Amino acid sequence: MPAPAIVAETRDEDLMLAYAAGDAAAFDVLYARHKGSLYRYVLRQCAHAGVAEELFQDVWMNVLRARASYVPSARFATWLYRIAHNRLIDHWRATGQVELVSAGADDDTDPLDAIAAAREVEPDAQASARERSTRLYSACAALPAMQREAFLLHQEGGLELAEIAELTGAGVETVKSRVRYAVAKLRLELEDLE
Amino acid sequence: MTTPKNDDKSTLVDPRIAAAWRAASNDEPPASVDAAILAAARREVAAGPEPIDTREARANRRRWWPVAAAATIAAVVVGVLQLTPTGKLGAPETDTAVTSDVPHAVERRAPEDTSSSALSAKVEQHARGRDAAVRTEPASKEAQRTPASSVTLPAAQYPVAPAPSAQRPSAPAAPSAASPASTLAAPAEPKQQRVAAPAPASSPDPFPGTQKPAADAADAAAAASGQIASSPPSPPPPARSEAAANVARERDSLARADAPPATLAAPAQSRTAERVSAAPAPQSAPLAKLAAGSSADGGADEARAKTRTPLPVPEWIALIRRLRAEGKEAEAAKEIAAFRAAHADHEKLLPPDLRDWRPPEK
Repeated sequence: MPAPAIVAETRDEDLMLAYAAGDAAAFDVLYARHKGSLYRYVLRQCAHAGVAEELFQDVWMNVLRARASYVPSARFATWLYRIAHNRLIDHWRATGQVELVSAGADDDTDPLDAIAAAREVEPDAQASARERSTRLYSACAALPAMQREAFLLHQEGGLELAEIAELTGAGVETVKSRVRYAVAKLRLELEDLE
Repeated sequence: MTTPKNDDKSTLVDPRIAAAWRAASNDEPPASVDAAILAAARREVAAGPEPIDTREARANRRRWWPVAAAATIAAVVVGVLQLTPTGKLGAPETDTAVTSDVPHAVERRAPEDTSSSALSAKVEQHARGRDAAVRTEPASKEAQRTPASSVTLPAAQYPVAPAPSAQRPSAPAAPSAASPASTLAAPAEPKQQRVAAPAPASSPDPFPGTQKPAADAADAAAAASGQIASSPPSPPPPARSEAAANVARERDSLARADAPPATLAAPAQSRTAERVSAAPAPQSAPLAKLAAGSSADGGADEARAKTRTPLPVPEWIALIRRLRAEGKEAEAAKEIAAFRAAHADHEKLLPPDLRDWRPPEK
């Protein structure tokens, strides 16, 4: 197992190459770096934790199987979240939620109504941070799918707008608009708590 | 690019939203999922691509597969060829080498002896051709065209052969013995000529001992063919059986004569030609007819029997007795029949023991 100091300085791409060459410890480091953010990215896109765990595991299995063909042409995070994005799309198609994805592209729909409805469902959430988190997640879940995905990729995955645009196949300006809409709606949701 | 990115971050990321999100984002995958994924990762590494040296070793082994397959096929082919009978591979000289006293190099030129049917056809054809040639050509030319028989070839192989004149007695019947037919029939009746030595021209072999096996084989063949015809040696002369024996002898000798003449046999051939040319021509015609086959009628058989080379009476009787003593009953019966055919007063000439002797029927 590589030394911790070296591991901390090693890039994700080098760790993945090391794992592809047979270094299992490199994958441990890589997994530790990205498991939380990826899990939350998948979890916020799904309504059920069990499904999220399954999808999360599938994403990492795909990473393992694709290690031999991995080429560090982009950041490892971009490659990892592309795999997760494709897996989510497959899941949505399998569960008949593809229309939700396309409907989410409609930025004209006002998500504030849904957030207000969610707030009405839980009127006591303002009392604690837990309730705030719940409202935040509820507000995130109420976002259109494209805005939510762009926001999660930007917030959880740390991807740049260009990377999100490349990953989702949309333009950079489109991605920027989606993120702006998402942040604005979440800010509106959190105003009541402050 | 960095400036807009910073602008994007400043405009897109609200510090309050980011802090609230970080505070709320404490979800982690279950430990079981972590363990499953890490275990799968280690399994993938353990079952990963094999080392290069292993692959090269396998490739080296596979490189020998075609060679090994070819060697196996070759071994199987050699084994099959070893098990295949040699007669089927077109090597008939082994058959002739057993029954002939002719040197091996000469026998290789006459592989046709093995096929009896082809032999019969050749004998017929040869006899017909010879018969026609005898009628139209002088005897000397016919003798020159006579191919070197297997009997004369050994003499050619031993150029320092001493003349066997000492073994030849007076040879009163030289004209008939010197005839080509007698030369051709020499393998069939060598014992008569060795004992009585009436045909020096037909047995120029300087090593008579070497000819004996072939003579025995010819006698056996003649006996085999003659026994069937002469098994009931009735008192009247069995000219038919004698004719059958002669035909057998003729077939044997003609089959040998059909072989292409050897270059080594040239001196013997020339000597034979000289002898034949010295022989009286009328002798060759009935003998050529004798070789015409077994389809002739009884009168022709009697004629053939009469043309058989007669021996002196005492020698002939001695020969018959010797054959009886050796247990060659069929040969003895044939000789008695020939004797009776050759001598009209055979009842007086034959001693009582031979006069009343009958070969035992088998």
